[in-house]
Amino acid sequence: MLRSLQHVESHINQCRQISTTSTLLKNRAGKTKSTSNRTQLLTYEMAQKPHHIGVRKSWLTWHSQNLEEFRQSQPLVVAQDEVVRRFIRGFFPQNLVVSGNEIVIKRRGNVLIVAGFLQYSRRLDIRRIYWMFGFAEEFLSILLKQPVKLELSFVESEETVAYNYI
Amino acid sequence: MIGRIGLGRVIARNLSSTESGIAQKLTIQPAIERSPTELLNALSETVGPDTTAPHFAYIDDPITIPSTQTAKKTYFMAKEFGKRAARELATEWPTLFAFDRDQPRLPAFRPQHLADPLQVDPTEKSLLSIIESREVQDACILYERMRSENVDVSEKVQLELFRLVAYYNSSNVPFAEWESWAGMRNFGENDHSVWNSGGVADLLFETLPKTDETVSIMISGLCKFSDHSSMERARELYKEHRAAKGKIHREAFNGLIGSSSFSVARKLIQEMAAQKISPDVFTFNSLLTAATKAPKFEDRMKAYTEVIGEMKAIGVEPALSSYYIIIKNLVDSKLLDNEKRDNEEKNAAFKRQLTVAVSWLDEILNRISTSKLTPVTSSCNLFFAEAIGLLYRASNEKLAAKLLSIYESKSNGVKMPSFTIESIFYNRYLQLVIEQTASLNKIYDLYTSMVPRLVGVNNTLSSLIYRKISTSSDSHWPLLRRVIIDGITAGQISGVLGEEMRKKLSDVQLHALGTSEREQYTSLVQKLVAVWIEISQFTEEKMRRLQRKLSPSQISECALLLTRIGEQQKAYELLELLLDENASIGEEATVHPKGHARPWAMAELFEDALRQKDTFGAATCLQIMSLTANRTKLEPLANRIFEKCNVNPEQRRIIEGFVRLRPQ
Repeated sequence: MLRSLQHVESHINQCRQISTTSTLLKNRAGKTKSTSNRTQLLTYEMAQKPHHIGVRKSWLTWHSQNLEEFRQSQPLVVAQDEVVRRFIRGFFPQNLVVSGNEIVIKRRGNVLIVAGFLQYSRRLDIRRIYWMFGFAEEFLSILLKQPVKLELSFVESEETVAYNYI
Repeated sequence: MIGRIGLGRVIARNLSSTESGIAQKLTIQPAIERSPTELLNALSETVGPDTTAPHFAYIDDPITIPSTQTAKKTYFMAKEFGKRAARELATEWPTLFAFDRDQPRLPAFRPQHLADPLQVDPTEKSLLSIIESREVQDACILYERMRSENVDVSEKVQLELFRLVAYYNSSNVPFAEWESWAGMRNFGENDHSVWNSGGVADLLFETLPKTDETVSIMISGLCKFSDHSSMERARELYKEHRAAKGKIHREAFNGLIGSSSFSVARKLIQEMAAQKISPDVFTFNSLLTAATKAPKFEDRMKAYTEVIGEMKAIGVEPALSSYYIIIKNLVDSKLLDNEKRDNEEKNAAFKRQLTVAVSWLDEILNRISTSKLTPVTSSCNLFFAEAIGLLYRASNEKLAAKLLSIYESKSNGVKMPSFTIESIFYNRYLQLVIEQTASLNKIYDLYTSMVPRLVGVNNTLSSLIYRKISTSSDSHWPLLRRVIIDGITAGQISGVLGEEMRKKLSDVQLHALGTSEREQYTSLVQKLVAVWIEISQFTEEKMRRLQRKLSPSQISECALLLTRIGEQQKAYELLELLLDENASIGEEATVHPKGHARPWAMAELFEDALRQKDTFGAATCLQIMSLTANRTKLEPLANRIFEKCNVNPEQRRIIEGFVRLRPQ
């Protein structure tokens, strides 16, 4: 009898224990902390909640790899997206809007299109912008072995894309 | 119940139709054969070109769309240089770009260095591959290296190399023949080079046996890069070869004909005929080039007629480049310059020649309008630019419209390169139509469809439109607004055109504008004045290069425009700059020390102040006017202030004292 009790105890030890730390059951995604003087800028993208994706706002990457029967190289697409986003963030540091978090990547045929907003208030040198566009397009094309096009539009400053302040 | 009956009927009908379908044999129509681009063409026809969009080479955003010709070139080249920099990086460090998931492997995304002629194996194979890639100078270096290392080069490879170096005169391929970089191809300019004597081509010519082919290649090269000595050498070679009973090829004849006078060229043609070499379009083009050297207009006409007649007799269809040579050289080049036509005789000769040239062009257009145009030589596209130039001189709008319709028709396969020649063509056409048309509506429609997509904004065009607006009895606010906005983007706001903008804006009858147009007027004036003030305030060391100080006349005009839109306060703030001595002295100066306010603008401002019963404003105007007017002129103005405004005795005393102290 006692031997069987010992067995039970060891079994209990192997199972998950009851947690004594404070729990975090709240959904934190898509919730931006507000400020007392309403200075936190929210873009339309940020203002909409995650459950509004596909209803009030759209995806930040567009391709067919997440559809049934089209899944051929989904991890590759995810990796490519990250490469492109990091490159754009690193290459246009002065022109980014909301830290470059809202760059949209679209795949159409063999072409990869990078869309979104850039700002020019810190330095407006159009010739330089053209050089950088040419460089970025060619660099990413050679890197990803497929034509890459930039369809980035310009706003004067980050405030132009503000949807709300909280 | 009714629903059930209805359903039954439908099912019954379907069944009966299925039965009859089985009875009839189904035939599938054969697929209509379509070319790969047919669907795209159909789509393009439905949608049509967007005349307001920028060229696809540019970033489609208002701040990045270029409006002037210079900006178009700068931006296009900047983008291309960016691409070349990235390609250079990838060539230098290919391992960093080794994300090799493409199947099949695409060499377009794997740029590679060209073979270094000093590093590669000195073999015929390497030499042939360099020749194939048309790297002329590299091929020359490798060939010389092989000679110094005593490596034998076969006669066949030597001939290949000779062909290449003679064609390009031992230097690299000119920009116009670059395949991959469109910017360099269109904007790059090569100097006209003369034959590089004593180079690899000469060396190879001495080494190779003197066959018909080698002599022909040499003569063609000497004629292509001709100067006096190379031409003499080419002729001597020809004579020697003929004496040795050799026959040169058609290309060599073409070269010789093109660089001779017309009489010599005729003899050469006869020799060609004797040797039973049939001429082609290039031969006739060379003959036409020879004909252009005749100094007299009548001789040239006769020669052209003869050549065209010969072409017709033989059955060679003239290319557009043939017409280009004719059109370009019909009128004496000395008479084209207005300043050089200093007497009546020359003017009459010019008119006569121009009339003949236009009738020739009319004939040519009639011929080409019915045929399908295809590029034969590289200069075919120049015909359109040259023809519109001639029609512009002759002010012939009707033929210009015909030329444009031929150029834009589907049967025309000869297109001018964008941003360079095509832009000149459309600019000439637009200027011609603006000059010949009285209707501002027509000008507006044409202007908005061409500027800035096809034609860059330029000073001549803008001043032409301002002139047209001044002479026209009607007013056209959308056109004026558009030209001013284009002028702002093209940097025309300082200088003569800036003055023109202010003048035209002050001529606008505000009461004749609609509500939204008046709002547009207000915002345009606000924008312009803000820009002028901002530019005048670039007093820092870094920005001084861009500073344009306000002139007194400019200030008075701006103040007038501001009062028109109801911004009196801003207007008087601006006017006070004229009375502030510090504003025009020292490094911080924003106003030009020289010049005077416009009397008409000041008079209107003064009247406006009186209407408003604004003593301060009227007194400010009086003080500014006193800078140019004497006491007799100022006294009546002062009296009007006393009449119209509520002037207290103290103010009256000050004004009277001020006027009295002015010089008589």
